[in-house]
Amino acid sequence: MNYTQCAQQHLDTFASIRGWEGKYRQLMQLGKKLAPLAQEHKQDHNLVKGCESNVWLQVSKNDNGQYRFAVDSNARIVKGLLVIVIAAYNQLTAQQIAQVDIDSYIGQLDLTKHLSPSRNNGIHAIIEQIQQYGR
Amino acid sequence: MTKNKIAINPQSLDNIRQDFVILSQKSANQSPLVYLDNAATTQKPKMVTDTIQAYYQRHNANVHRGSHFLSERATADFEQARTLVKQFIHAHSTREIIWTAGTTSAVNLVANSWGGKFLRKGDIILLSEMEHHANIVPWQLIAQRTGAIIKPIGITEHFKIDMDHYQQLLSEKPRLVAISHVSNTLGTINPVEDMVAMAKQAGAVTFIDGAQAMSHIKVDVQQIDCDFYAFSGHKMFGPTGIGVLYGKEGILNDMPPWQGGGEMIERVNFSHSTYNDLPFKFEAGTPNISGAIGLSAAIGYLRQFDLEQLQQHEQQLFLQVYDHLQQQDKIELYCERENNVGIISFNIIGEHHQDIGTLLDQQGIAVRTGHHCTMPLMTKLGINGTIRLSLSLYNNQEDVSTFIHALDKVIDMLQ
Repeated sequence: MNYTQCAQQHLDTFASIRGWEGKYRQLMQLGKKLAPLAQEHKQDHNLVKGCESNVWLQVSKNDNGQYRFAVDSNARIVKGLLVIVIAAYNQLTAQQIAQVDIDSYIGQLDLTKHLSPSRNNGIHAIIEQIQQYGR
Repeated sequence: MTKNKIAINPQSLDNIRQDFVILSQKSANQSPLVYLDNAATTQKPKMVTDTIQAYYQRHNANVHRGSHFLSERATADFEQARTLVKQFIHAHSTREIIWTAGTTSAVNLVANSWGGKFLRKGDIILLSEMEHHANIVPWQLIAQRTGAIIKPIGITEHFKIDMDHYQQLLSEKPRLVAISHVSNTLGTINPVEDMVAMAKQAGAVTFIDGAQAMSHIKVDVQQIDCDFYAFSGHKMFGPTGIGVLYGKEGILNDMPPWQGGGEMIERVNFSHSTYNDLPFKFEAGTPNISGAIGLSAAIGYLRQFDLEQLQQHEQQLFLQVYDHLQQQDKIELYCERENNVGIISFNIIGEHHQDIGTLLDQQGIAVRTGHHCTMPLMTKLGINGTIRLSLSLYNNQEDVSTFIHALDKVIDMLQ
């Protein structure tokens, strides 16, 4: 399937990195570069439940019906993964969100074997929340 | 050293490790598995898995029921397992050994049966701040029902029970003192013998959660003199789903059954039932037969070693890791160098424990990260979690070196 331009860029980057160390360094770099979520959005109602680290998700929608997802976390690897996940959904409409094959997308990063969207790392929880905006 | 025991040294350790088939497999990124999550559960030696397989393939039958050959054999093995547990913890009688599903269900049994009958409104239950949730929540539930009050015994900055505070709380005449023999997060060995003696003077009943003690130190329930002692099979090389509640015969006799069903009755009619004798009064339904037999195999395995030598071996590895971590500026330790079974809790300052766990896992290192089911302790320490490394019999020098090297790499990656 076609991914957003930003998502495709992530896929290309990860495909070019060999070995777990490089991939995790890249993940942490992505997290580092992410602009922190404004304090006003780091509220309990934006906190995603079921994560070992704190994960915040703030959602907005423009007049064209396109969603914007902003995230933050106090753990580096999760933060990097969040950047990658929201890249697949940002600026999409509800209909487009519903069509994103997120499992295949994350699978292509070649991190899934040991960092699957499991329940405790917060990625699974955030994907479930984002998918609720799709229809 | 003791005669007829298997020595624990670098040479014998290679053989010991071969008893644990799982240890020879590869983990993430084809790294050799370095299993340092033994406080969560230990691996099982072939002696245990073979015994369970043999039970199901050759002796499976229900116990205490049939008059046929297989049932008699299964019953004999099952009761022999109870005898072995009795000997291992030096209980007075097999009537004091009750099979449970694990430590958690043992706490629940005592909380419901003893607590339900004897706790009154305003009665005080003392727990320590380092308790596992399993030794907190069952007491909370019964406290809510009976109106009893839970009071926590503080811990010192050296991660030990604050004995002055304990003494002070005992003056309030608590009904029950429930503490862990060894902390699952801090590794601290608590002075249970002294604490029980002090509790008895104050007239309190004592419950010891021994889950983290059994695979590391000698446990003698008569010497500790506690009223109850509980532990799990799976943390001492046995299977999951089996555990033991030891209770002094007198107090067990005073307690009503908790769960009803088959096995635990003497006579049943619709107006009234009478109950079986100890220990069966507390063992409703078909028990975990393979679990009990598997646990007895685990005890048999453990008894091949001299426990003091085992402790020395674990201490030697523990001190290497501890001393290495203590020298690092960026590492904060949450455990003491002395009186520790071989559990090290730490954080890298400014980093989330989950990241460290993930990056260690990528190098084949299995540790646990998080609150370790000790949230009140985390609150006390002012943290959300730690990285916990926990050692066992089969860990060796290479495990420790690999861990230290892997952690150096993690620290480098985070810079």
